[in-house]
Amino acid sequence: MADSEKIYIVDRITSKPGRGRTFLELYMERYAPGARKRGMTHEFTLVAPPLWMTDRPNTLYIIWSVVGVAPWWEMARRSRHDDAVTEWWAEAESMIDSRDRHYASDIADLAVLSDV
Amino acid sequence: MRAISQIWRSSPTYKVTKLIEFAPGTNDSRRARLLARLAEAARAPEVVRSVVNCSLPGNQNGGDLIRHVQYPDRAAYDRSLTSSAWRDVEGLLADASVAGEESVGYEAGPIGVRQPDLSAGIFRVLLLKVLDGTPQAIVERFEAELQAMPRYISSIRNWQLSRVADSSGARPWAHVWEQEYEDVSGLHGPYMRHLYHWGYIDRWFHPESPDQIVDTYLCQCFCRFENGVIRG
Repeated sequence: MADSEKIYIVDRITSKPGRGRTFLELYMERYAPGARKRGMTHEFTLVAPPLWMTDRPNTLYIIWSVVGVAPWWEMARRSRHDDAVTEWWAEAESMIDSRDRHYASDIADLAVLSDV
Repeated sequence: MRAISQIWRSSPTYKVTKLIEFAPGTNDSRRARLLARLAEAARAPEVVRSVVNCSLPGNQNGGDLIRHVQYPDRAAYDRSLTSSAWRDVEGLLADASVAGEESVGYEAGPIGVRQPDLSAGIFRVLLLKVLDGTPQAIVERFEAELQAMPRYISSIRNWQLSRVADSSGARPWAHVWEQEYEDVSGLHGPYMRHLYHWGYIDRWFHPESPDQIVDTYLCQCFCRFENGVIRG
């Protein structure tokens, strides 16, 4: 049963030109505290290209995790009904060119996660 | 393993599903009486299949009982609206013991059958509303991915996704997603815990996902059935 496997939440955000650094600062200030309260653990953040662009976009990969399927649902349930989360993403639109969110796991955990 | 029979077309069968909520304080005998009378009305000659039963604990905005009735086609349903059985239903639903209902009428959509001889089990209904302005091509992709769930989640024994024609209640409902399970554990276990559900499908429903197209207000309800409900 999948109760101890790490599930990764991968936010990939491509900023508007020159807005990558500001976006990340606001993300960590405005979004991250609530995410931690919902049980998400911040793993790491990648930025590409690896410098803050002033006239071009940056793409950010912000990686979070929860451990187990039940905590995943709890995280999802809490953010689904939290207006602050929706408002944050609406406000952030002005800094974002595109974004997506994926849920992923270590390949080694697939068999356990699939054993439902 | 039994092969999956999937019929990717609508049938003329017309379905009406009501999720009914009792008023606070309605006692057990009154609930039982209302349930029995609704079940009796569902045995009208124009009805080809039905399930009327109390919902089981764990529903979401799903009320206290499900009344699901199938007619041979829309015309038969329209004719039934003038029948005494239908007037009985309307009278019962106007009773003070009924606080509200979610109601949908729809031509039966694409159906999938893994276990056509499932004579008893759990019937589950999800009502959902697609957000206004969603392009039709995106809706169709969502529908296809939803209908593919049973390919991955074997506890879904029979299933049907339909587009709503008539709707009333908390939302103008757009789709009805029906499934049959052998027992509740198939819904609470594999259905909820499968990777395809939380790792893939849920993005259509979640406001944090840029792919969200489904209103966060959902109605889901499930009950026991004793005769097959989802049949081709």
